[in-house]
Amino acid sequence: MNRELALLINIQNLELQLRDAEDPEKARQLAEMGMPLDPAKIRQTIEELLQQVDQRQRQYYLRLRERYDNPVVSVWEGHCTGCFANVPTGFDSASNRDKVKICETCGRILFQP
Amino acid sequence: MEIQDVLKLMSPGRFLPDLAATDKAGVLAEMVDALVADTPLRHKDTILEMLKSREALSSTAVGPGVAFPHGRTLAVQELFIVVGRSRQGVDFDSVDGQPTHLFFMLIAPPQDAGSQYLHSLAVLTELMQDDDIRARLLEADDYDSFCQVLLEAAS
Repeated sequence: MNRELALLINIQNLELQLRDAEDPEKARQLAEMGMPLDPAKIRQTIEELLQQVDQRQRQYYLRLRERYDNPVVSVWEGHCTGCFANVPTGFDSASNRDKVKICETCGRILFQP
Repeated sequence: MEIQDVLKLMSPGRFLPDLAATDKAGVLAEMVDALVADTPLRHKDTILEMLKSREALSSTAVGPGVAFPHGRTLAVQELFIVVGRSRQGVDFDSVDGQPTHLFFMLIAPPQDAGSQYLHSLAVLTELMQDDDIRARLLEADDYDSFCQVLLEAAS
């Protein structure tokens, strides 16, 4: 997988953890299970990972993050799961596989699970 | 959520009764390998990276002798549970410093409607507080026996 895409997916996964850590009910549940999450530590890890992303990709991701909770989305049955627009065939072709691709309709970064 | 619902997320192909790995990274890799082998999933590295990032925040080996590596990732479309067991135990950076013998790995999709994975975690963490249940799970002969112990424990 493209290195930038792998980093962005990992960052978004951490942002999901951050949302759980900042949700009072979920944070309480996790703490009760003995697995509390420290939002400050998650934010720091996200920042460190963002610095590893190519500047142009990073800025694009951060702009998307201002608009969407989910800047990176999966493609499911030929559709962007962010806006449900059709994704062109060939999106996941061998020649495209190592590129960061975006939805032509909503601009989100696409990932083929 | 009940234990019956949690059992539906497990499968014999994702049950590793004798983990070969002897360290934390190895356990995570071995369990993700089993998940990918038992499902149409193909992004092993994405799942593994998510788990490593989660463990770097704080260990999920909250004991006693049990770990719950978990998280949400785009690499899956539904919640999966992988179960691993190590009779000799593995250093999983547990909070009590003791070796970890039982591993319940939960891999959820980003949307995770209804917080299914948190509820599954809650069911499992509660059951695993019981010394007798953990001992019986370590001795269970096969997948069906393992599930039967969980069912009996919850009844």
